Amino acid sequence: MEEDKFKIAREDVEDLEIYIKEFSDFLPLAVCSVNPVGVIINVNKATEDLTNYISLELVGESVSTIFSDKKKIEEIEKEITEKGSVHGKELILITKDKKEIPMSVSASMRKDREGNYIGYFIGLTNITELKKFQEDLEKKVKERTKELEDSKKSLIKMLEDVKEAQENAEEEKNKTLAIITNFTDGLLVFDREGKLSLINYQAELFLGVKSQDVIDKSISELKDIPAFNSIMKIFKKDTKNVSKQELPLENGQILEGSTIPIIRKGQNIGNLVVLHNITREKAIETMKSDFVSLTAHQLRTPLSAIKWTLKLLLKGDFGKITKDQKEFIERMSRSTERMILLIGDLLNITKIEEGRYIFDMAPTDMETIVLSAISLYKVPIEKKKIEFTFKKPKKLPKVKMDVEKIKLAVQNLFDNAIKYTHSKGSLQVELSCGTNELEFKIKDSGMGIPKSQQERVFSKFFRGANVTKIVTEGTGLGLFITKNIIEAHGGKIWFESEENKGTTFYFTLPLSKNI
Amino acid sequence: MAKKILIIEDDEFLRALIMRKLIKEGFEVIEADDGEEGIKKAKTEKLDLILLDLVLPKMDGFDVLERIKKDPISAKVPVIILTNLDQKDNVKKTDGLVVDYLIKANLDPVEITDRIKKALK
Repeated sequence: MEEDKFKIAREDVEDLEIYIKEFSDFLPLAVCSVNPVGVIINVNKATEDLTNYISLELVGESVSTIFSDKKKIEEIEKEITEKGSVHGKELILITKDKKEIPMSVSASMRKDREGNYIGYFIGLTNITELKKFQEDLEKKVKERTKELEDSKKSLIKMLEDVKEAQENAEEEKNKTLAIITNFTDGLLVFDREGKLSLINYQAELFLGVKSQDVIDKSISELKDIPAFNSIMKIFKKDTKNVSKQELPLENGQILEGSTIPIIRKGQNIGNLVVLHNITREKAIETMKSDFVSLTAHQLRTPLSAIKWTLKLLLKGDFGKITKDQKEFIERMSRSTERMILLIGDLLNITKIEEGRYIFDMAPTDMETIVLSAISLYKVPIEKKKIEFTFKKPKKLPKVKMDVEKIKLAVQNLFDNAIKYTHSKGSLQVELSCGTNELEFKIKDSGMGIPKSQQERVFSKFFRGANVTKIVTEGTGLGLFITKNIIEAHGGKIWFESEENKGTTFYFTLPLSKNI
Repeated sequence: MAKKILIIEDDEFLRALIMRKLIKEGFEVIEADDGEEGIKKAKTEKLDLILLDLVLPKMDGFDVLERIKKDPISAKVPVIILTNLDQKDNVKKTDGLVVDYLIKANLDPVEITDRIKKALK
């Protein structure tokens, strides 16, 4: 019976053993049983699958053989004996084929019936996926953080740049404003809509206004302020280009106003008006021309008397004169005549510079002016045996002009052409008419103007280097005066010239529609 | 009876020349070398013609002309302007008050006689 009981008990134990084996093999968790000295005494199927070792290869080996870190195993064993169990310790498992797999390790102490420590169970969970996920996450977080940090840095830098740029701009603005405020010229800025957007201190002084009373007002609103009234005419001109105008103020000061379009990126964004005080310059200019004018007038009277006396002498009013005396008196006469002409020219120039030269505009027949010049120069033309021709269309319209001045202009051109043409040369004068203008042309076969000097032909006191040696007479004022006369009539004057071949002068006078 | 002419001209030399010529032509000539004297003589002398310079000491020719023309005694005496101011803007002020203009620089003994004779007609 005893034997039977034993047999039954043994059979029960065997059954239990089978059950446990089956159960442990079924478990998906890798479980090892380890004895107190760290030797594996049992492993389940999941452990074999995980480590690629078969049970026989593992049983009897130290548990540390399947892990990379021996120290950690020792720590875990120590913790087990102290606390009875450990959970979720991370360890690296080394498989038979040397693969390293991250593991989460849990272990629980085993005791016998008497409570003696007899080893522990150790369960292994593969956390590769988790790890990878974690690492990815960490990496991503790191990257993201870095990105954020980078953008933060660049944002800060940007802010700093903006701040610096702002400060620079502010400083530039202040500098510019200081320049504008302290500028000795008056400055006004009108925006695209024609409203006053800036006026500096000097302009306030000139116009007797306060900035706050005029700023943001349009030109038509400003017109009612008396001081602005005097500078309004500057706006009437074409504002596409720089235009200058003299602006007399009520207090006697004279300003020179310039309007300058403000162009930005090809667009007109407003107009700048510069007011420059030219009162002093004007006064000096007036004094200068008054001086020249008075002197010239005072010179003329005695010269007229001398001229007259010489005429009387030549006529024999004071008795008979010798041939020698006659020759010298004639020379004196010519010199006096030249001086009178020079004074006349100087007076003309004074008037040109004072801007009061052209008046008495009347519709006139240009042909009669040319004919009178022809008759005036008939003698010298014949004397020099110059071949002269005058061409003109049958009918020419009248032109509005100051007859005396145009006569003088034509005479100056005749005078030059004849003076600087050799004898037996040729001289052609032609009148022609376009739709808007009448053209006068005078072509000589004279000595011409050197190329290098052609630019200066119309300037005051100009005389060609090649002619001064041959013809000593001449004030160098004729063409200057002529040009001013033509331009004061709204006409144009120009020339073509080649040295030793000849010169052609042209001028035009505009035809006025309402004659 | 010889016609009486007053010359108001400050340049002594020119004045002498004109006088010489006019006397030779048979005129009676009196002279004044500034504006004030000219006005005085225009009032006291019975004149047929006045030759008047525009640039004068003490009182300029424009003022002299105005005074002469305002005074009933001299108002009807024809005036010829003697001038250096050959620009019409200056001379224009005298328009309607004078009969002729003579430009000094173009002055010629023959021409001055002709113009005076013409003015006296």
